[in-house]
Amino acid sequence: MKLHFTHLRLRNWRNFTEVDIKLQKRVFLVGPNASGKSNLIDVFRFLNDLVKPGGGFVSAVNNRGGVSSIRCLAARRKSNIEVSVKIGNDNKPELWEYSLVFSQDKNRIPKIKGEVVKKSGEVILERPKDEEQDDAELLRQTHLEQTQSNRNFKEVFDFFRRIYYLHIVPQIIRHPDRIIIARNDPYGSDFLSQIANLTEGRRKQRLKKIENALRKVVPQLSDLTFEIDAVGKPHIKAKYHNWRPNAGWQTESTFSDGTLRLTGILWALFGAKGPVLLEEPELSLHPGAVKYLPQMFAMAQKRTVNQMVISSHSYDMFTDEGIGLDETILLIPGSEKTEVKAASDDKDLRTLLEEGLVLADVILPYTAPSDGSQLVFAFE
Amino acid sequence: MSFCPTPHQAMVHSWFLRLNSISANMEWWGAVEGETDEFLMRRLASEFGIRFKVIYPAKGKDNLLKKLPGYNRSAHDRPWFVLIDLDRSFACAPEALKKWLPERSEMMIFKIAVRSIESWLMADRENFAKFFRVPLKSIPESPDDLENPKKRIIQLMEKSSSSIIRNDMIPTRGSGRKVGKLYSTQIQRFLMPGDTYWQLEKAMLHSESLSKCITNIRRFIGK
Repeated sequence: MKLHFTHLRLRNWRNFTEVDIKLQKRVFLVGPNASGKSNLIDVFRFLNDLVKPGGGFVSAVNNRGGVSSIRCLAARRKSNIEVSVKIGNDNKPELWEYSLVFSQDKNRIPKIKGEVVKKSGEVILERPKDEEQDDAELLRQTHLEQTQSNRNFKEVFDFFRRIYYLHIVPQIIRHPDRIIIARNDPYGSDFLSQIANLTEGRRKQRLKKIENALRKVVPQLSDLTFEIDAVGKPHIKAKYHNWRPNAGWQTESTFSDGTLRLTGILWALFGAKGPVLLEEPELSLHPGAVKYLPQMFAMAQKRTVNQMVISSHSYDMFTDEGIGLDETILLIPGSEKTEVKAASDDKDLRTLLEEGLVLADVILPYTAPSDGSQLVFAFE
Repeated sequence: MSFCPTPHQAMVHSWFLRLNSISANMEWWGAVEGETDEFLMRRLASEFGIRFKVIYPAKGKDNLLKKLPGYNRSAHDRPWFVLIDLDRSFACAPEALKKWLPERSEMMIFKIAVRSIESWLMADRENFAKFFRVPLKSIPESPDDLENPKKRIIQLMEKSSSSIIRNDMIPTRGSGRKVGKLYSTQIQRFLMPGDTYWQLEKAMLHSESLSKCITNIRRFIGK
């Protein structure tokens, strides 16, 4: 049975002094701007960075600006950062547990303080051992990232490898010339080369599925295809039927923001083999399409993707009456730290919903910025 | 000077509209409480060849009731179809009607489902049983009498022999919601035209509320 994250525990990660939450297969993160939705999603990207080729512990930390910028401001200066996840399936939600505790040494180089792996509750790795303490090199590498030492928990390694994050920034897709194309770039600069890297058969199959889905929202679009231009650059193109009297071909450079973003989301849902992380999938989409996204996600979960972590503050998204309160994670900022809890753990919210209110009406004001109205006075 | 029409003017005016307006190629405007109601409204429309310009989802009954007077004014000169659930607001539909829309515009079809459109879905008992794989005898003979038809649908799903249906329709423990993740998608599928899916004629046999609604539409469009 496919695995998913079942539990997340954090200490001093970014703006969270403490997080301790259960995770369902579909997770919605709701909170005001700067409440840390992206920071929470970033934990899963961090785990992916630990195990990806060219990644590893030190680069995962340094790419985030080092320990001092990851460590929560509200934490004491020398506190450790802890990331701990449980992974399992419906029958065994605690099949695996992986915990990493780290800090930095005098030279501000990241340093592992603890790495623990449990299988069905039993410890199968616990380090660093006493003899490792004097070897700085050993404390800069997790056993997870090394093929020799992760043999007993390869399943965890493989699971982290399959975490998929794609947050398409349309401008980057349209003008890749101005941006260096990075491999595994989360903002999609390599989106087209990801498409290019598939075998022709699988690519055609997946583009056909994406086209069928896109046409529900953009009915004038047809013939979504892939091509390599004269100078060897990959493109996607499609016919647009009401553009000119004869259907005109357009490439990604003239696709609308919404079309490009939806293409990216569909690409992830049809292709990802592990947990998919989506940031504000509602961006650039019409509310009439957004309100069906939760149902689309649930359908996709039956076929392809096993787990999805979605950040959103779209009213329309949360009008879906099938979104579980245990799937909804609220981020409520305080003066120094953000409180994180499942909506199901809030009795007041439950009562309001019993009264027949729409989830959006209940949770969005609850997580709204307290001084939003003051924005207007910036121009006074 | 008042621009309001005298009662006589208003009557002549509405007569004129009735004679002129309800032609087959006129576009309709609609409003509903939520998604499932919209699927049903679109299905009814397709049965009678009604074309909608737009259907406004109100996101809740209170919202719909707030906007109703505006829709009603708009129905002076364009056809409107508004569907709302009676739920447990009033003892019967006429009582609710008196309160919610005391003066209906000429081209307004305002229908109150007793007690909610979910009873209309169950009213095609045979196809409901087939589609959701539940025993026919467990489906109420007159779903209009149910206090809470939606709740009954979820209870019926517990008896479904299909694990897909059970997973999609029943809320998981801890979800705190009244329906499952894919409730609305499954209802949408059930309302798609097809032999083994929901049939209007059959549903009318078991729901007086639905039959009245259909009679009303027929009278309105002259079919």
